[in-house]
Amino acid sequence: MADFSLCEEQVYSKVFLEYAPTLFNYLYYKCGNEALAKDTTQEAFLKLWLHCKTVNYKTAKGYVFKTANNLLLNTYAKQKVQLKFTSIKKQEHTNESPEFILQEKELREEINQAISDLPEKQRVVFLLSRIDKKTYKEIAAIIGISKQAVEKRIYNALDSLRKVSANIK
Amino acid sequence: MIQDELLHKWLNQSMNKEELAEFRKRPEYEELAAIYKKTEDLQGPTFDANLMLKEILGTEKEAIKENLNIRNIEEAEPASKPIKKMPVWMKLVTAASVVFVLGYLFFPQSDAVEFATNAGKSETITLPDGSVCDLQENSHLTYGKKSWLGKREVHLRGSATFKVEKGSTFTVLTANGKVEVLGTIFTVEVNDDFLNVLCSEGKVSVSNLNESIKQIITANETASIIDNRQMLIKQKNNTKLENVSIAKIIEELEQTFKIKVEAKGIDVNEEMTVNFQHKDLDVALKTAFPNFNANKIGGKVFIQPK
Repeated sequence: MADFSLCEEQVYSKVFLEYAPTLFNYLYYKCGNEALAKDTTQEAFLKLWLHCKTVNYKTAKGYVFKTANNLLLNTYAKQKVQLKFTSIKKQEHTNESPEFILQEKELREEINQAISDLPEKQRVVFLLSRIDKKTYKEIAAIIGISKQAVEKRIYNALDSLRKVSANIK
Repeated sequence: MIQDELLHKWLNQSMNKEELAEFRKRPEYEELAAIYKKTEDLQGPTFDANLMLKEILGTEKEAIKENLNIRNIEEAEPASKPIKKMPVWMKLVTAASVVFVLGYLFFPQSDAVEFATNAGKSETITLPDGSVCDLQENSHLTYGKKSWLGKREVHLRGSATFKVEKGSTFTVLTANGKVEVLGTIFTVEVNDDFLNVLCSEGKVSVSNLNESIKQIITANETASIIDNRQMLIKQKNNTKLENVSIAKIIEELEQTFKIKVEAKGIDVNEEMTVNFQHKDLDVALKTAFPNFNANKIGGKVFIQPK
């Protein structure tokens, strides 16, 4: 695979489809701004397309994540993030009472809030694990930290959420 | 809450039953389970990767450069949309891919590795997976270098013995049928209308090209395919003949029991499918020719219509 050039559309597409969704999610968890996450993802991959001759297949992933990280640092001043998640759970009961639906909605807002309030480092790792179902090893590779650090951040995130959820209940 | 492996195992659902039971006893389990449940089916904003990929690939590189420069200078103002349509460029790419695909379809063996032996010469070939092939004289063997990665498949004319490394299915394709194995030693002999396979170790599956007849043979058994539709299988205590003429059946019986057989008033070109064992001549004759009478006179067997 190493000699496959990224300038080949097929190779580039494969790399794109493999890493772009993860990169987008990662950026979104980081900055909480959908449009910014999308633009940054596109810009990072445009740069990869432009520099396809100097980057090879193996280093492509590292290249886009690094580029996106730098772009994000340049453009956004750290601010309070507000993430929005929806539940993909299927509607099991069609005749739910309005109270129940309202309760569900409130609960979702509360969990959204709790996650948004997590420190950035914990939030990114926690969501990559819970939503993207990435393994600790994969998360470690994406962020560039050790597996132990991932474990620690997940643990801390759970701990923080647990404290908040005592109120949610 | 203690920082430990168990917690992470639980979170990643890689726990066994005992560990789970133990974990459930923890005082904080309820709270953790509630968080787990709430975060289980969360979904972030949707991201249309295909659309973005299309946009990127549909933009000329010069336009990207300009676009990126503008962005770097003027952060505040959103950059102008990249030009999406590039008819000439797109056409060229499309044409190139069509050529590529057609080329691939019509010349699948352009990467073929080829071996051939002349009369009186034989050659030992080691295949990419470590399997060994002894190619006998006047034989010809090819395999695809690239397609080998997907499936172990060789094309053979002539005769060869294979010692196949264990792994995925190993296929020998010939003009008269195919031989499939997993890992074993066997000999394949093939000429214009005849395929003969001798299995020395393990199991081998032999079939004709459209797989209408198929047989698995084991060690020291042989299978032959004639004309892509007749099949002869010689096992230790059994002979199986499919779509074979009566004359050929008689020949096989003569060889197996070392006797002389003569047919009287029977069309020996008629084709039959029979199966006979090697222990008892009378039983074998009855199973081979249930519709005929077999009489033993002297050292000879006569077969007549009933």
